[in-house]
Amino acid sequence: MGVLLKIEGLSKSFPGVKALSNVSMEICEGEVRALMGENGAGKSTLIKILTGIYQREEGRIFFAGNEIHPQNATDVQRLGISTIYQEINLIPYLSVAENIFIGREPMKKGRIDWKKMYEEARSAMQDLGVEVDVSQKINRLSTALQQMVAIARALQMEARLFIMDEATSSLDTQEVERLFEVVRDLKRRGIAVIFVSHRMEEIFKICDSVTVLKDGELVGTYPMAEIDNHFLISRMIGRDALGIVSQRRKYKNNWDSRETVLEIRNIKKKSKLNGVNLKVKRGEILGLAGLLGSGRTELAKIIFGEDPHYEGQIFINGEEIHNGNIRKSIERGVVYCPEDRKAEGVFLTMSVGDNLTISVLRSLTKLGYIDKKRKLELIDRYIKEMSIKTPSRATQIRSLSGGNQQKAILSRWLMLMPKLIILDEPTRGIDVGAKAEIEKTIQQLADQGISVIYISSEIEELVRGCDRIAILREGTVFGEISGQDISTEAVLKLIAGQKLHEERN
Amino acid sequence: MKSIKAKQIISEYSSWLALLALILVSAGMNRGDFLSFTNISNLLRQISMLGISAIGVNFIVIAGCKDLSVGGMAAVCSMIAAHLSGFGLPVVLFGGLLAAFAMGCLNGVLVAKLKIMPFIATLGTMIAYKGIALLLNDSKSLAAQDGDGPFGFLGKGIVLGIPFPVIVFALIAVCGILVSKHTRYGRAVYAIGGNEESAVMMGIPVERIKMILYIVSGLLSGLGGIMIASRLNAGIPTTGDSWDMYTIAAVVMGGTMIRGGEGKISGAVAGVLIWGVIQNMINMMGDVSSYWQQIIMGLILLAAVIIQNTVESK
Repeated sequence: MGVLLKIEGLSKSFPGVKALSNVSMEICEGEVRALMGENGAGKSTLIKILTGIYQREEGRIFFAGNEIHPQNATDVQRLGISTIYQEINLIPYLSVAENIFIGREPMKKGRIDWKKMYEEARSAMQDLGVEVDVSQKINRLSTALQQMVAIARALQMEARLFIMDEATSSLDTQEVERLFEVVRDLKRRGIAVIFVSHRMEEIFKICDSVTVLKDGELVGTYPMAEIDNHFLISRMIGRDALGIVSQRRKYKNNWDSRETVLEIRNIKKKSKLNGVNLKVKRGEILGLAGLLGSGRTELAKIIFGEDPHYEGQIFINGEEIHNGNIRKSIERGVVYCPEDRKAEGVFLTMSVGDNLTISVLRSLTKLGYIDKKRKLELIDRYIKEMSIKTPSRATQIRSLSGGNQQKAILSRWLMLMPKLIILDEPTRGIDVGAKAEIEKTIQQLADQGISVIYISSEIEELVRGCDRIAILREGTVFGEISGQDISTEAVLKLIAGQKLHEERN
Repeated sequence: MKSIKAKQIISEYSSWLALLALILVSAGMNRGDFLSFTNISNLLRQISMLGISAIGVNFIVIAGCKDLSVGGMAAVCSMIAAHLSGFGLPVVLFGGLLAAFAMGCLNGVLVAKLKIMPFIATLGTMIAYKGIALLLNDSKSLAAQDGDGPFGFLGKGIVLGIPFPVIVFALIAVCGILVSKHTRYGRAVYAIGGNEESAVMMGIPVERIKMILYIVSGLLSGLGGIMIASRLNAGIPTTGDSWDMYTIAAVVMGGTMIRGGEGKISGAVAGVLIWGVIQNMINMMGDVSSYWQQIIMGLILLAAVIIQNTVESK
């Protein structure tokens, strides 16, 4: 197949940083190319140049044989390059069909031909193997389906190159599999895909080759068939990867002698949870696995007290409480790091320091005034202990990488000396190096006696880091595995709704 | 399933149901006086100018923007109309609408090109436009000429028993509804309000569309101002003084989400009618202070928003 995209000597710098320097690559028709590198390696700069958001400084780009000069998003789409983002770029209150066709609606006598539009939209979705009511609003659909709509739109625009930027990060295992089916189908049609993901398994599963960037420079392009996980990680971080990748958590068997920090009995929530029972011991890391919609986040929010509308009992340190008040939960030592960092976690426009101390200000306050000296000491201590990489404590937190933002949120809660931390997708969208650090931090917290509820869609991560994993399915705990029984296969089986043979009760 | 559908219908047409309820109450209270042809015709004429302006504002709110300057534009145009009234209707319309076009353009440039927050941009122009209106005759009203001729017809004329402003309002409302539902332009307005960033990425010419929105809003408000000058036979610098907020209130009562992306042009019509009926009710009660009108209006607006929020959170 012919070369579809050719990049020659691309460079771009921002004040103080060389974001890309002299990067060249070629992608063929029907090729699925992974683009990898740590945060700051230049992946997003490269993509933003390709999609016309940034302008290059040096270098040339050829697409389908012609040199192109992408100026803006519209230009690029017209050329046949479409991007599927992590945060899906669709219009929430318009219908599926309108989202596919907006700007290019079929017209009849000066009016939009709604009938034709619905028909074409339906067949476009069917081509992707999806049956949906195309007249319903897009915000009623799951993220995965919305992504399918975005793909249908791109196909309608005759895209020849898809850029999938962390497109799988909010999908569960089955949904990722379906997306991959679509990617394989795109391949067959000769469409090329640039696939950006932090998830190694996915890269090896779907990509033909990988281009690795580091500090804005090209490290190399390798066929997937010839490399392995370790090789790839070592290329990305530029040092031997073995020490960085987290070790499997040590198996302990003294749980019976430890006190129960949290016990929930028969928690129910209308149409989401149908009777969940769980116990968490002191210093235990309990993983919660399950598909999106299995009730993981709903359960977390009930335990944290964000959602007062539930039935059932919750015991903290053996004492029954009625939840529904976040302040009280925090006082009891239960804290929650939400799934959506930007929306619910950090205060983007505030400094790192203010973000760290926002929850402990009360204890730093004397006669209504904040004790500035103590506050700064506290900030510096946590920046150091948690190794948050920030130019200073006054830097706005939004300029930090996702991993460091996550560490800041963790620090904020740790200052409150919690007994139980609920982490909802703590490593989503975070690169390998920072991920390993966060995983390590979580392990340390547990070893210090803090209990952790660890929610993640990345099963590998749970398998590595948990003492016990509970699998939620259709609003109940479908199975539990602990210690040496934990394995990826076992978790996958339970998620898929199969019982394990080993389970006798 | 059936009850869900019923709920949907109720929430879709809630503003019309509220209007119907008000009409029934009003008709009951005033024993038929309310339903008299003269009363209804007066009521409709009274709200037509505000309604014309509210149609433009409704589009702007659906696009996730605001236009606080509609009253200012109406005031300027009413003064210009009075000044030009001696030269005949075509000159009045040309002069007035040209000024409206220019003012709408300025709003559009500020919001679409210079990316100033619509609230602040049009707050600024609102203050300035009202100043211009005051300046145009040294803050005094200006008597118009040709009050019985074509110019006067604009605000006072009656066609087949229906006041001319009502006909204009109805025509503009119908055009607005059609544009919003059945044209690419209309759907793009919804897209921008739904998620502007996505709209840009989808290749929708966001700047151009916003530009047009503000120009149309200017023209409609200007037309409203000219019609008021015609009806009162004078240019009044405080014309449309309360439109800035009342148009937005009417639009929101009509079910348009203030954050943009959702709403119906017909809702603005319902919202304006609700306003008119309440005004009329209070007037007919005679001994009740007209300030009650504002209080009731405010409460209804809040109720509308609370209902929107609860429907939304489900």
